[in-house]
Amino acid sequence: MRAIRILAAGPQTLVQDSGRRGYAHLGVPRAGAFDTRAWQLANRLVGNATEAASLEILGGGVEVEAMGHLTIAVTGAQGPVDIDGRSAGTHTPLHVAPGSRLRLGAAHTGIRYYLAVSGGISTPAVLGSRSHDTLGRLGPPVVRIGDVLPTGAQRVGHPLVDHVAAVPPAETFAVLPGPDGTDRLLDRLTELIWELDPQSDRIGIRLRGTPLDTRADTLPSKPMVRGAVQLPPNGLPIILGPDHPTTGGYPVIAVVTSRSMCDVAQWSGGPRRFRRA
Amino acid sequence: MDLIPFGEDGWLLLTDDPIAVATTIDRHGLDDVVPGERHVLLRGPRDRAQAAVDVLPADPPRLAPREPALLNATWDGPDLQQVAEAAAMSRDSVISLLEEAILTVAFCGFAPGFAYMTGLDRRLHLPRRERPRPQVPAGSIAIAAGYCAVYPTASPGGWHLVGRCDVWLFDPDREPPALLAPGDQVRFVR
Repeated sequence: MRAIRILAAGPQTLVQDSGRRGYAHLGVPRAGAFDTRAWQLANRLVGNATEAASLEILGGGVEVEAMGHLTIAVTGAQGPVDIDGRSAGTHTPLHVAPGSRLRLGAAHTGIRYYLAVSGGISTPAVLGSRSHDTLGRLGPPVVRIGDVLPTGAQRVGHPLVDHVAAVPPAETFAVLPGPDGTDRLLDRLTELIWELDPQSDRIGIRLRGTPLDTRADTLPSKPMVRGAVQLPPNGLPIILGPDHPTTGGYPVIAVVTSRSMCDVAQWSGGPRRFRRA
Repeated sequence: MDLIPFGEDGWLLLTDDPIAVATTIDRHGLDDVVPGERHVLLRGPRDRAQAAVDVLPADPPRLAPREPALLNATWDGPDLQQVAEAAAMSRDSVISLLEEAILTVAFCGFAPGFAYMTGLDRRLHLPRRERPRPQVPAGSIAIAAGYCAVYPTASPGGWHLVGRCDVWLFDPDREPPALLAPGDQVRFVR
């Protein structure tokens, strides 16, 4: 059996794939990789099916030991990577021998690394997915020191590329109009500059800045989607992340495009803006 | 019926009867069909969502409800007295109203298996608590904003706790994983 052993787990390391479908009417969040672009790229770099499960690593501080000959790729955030103390890179396939240790330091650009292993991570699926859902606590548990994560058969070929350019995350997020939005609110959202509330997580990215005008009452609860920009009574928007509750009652003034949600996933701080898609 | 775009692969349908639409619609080719209070959300390609809506009858019939699920309740919630005072009645009257109600799951949300149930007597329609509790035990029976629910897992919560229930509402190893789905009916018994 090939596997990776976790020697250091960092602040939050989760197994993620494309998430859960077909159970949202029972209140089950979709979950899944937050930066879908980086997650798919990591899989492609090691020759996996693009939807194979891999690790989503918040911030860094992770060390893994290869149990077997493995190809590993790290994408998403950028930061120092080394194998047995020798500097290696992100965004490139790395061939790792049994017993070798790969270490990921603190991210300097972006915040979420994706670590894909040849064959994909094959911990058991729950309701059709290997994604850890932080709201419902479904799926593989949060990754901890000492875990041995087996790899599977989700390899479809050999890596076709040696290296891809790491694109820094965009600082402007594209939005579509939301079902409860007005032109005026969308104008205000796109005019203002927004900061990241540190209480943000995979359930919701909370914005700080000048509050927007809100309607007095909440609306009938309606089903929600990833990227929905909700406006709670305090006027500070919340962008729903992958683990968002399936229904919600705050007005939705805009929806961040799926492409821009990859940039939202990598937002570690600093000013951001919105633009109409 | 018009589809309101919600993101790139979400289509909202405004309807008088979300349960009827959500339980009768052809889900083929759609990732999810999710009812809310006034809407049904279809997730998937636009042509699939449109095709599913095109064949929907103007007044989709509600499936005949199954016999109400009977949930064993113990009425010892920490907010029962407060609810009785707010409703200007005795604790026993509150309990009677809770046991007489035939509740219907309107939609789910908040957490896996958390079912928003309608059918509470109007006198028990109370706003949420001013201060949410950081931790509500699993199995708590709670009311707020016209709804009744049972917390499937321990979580923070802002509803009035009136009792508790000894059933597992959500188990990912079961199929279906949730005891209660939209359209299901529930009665509390002692």
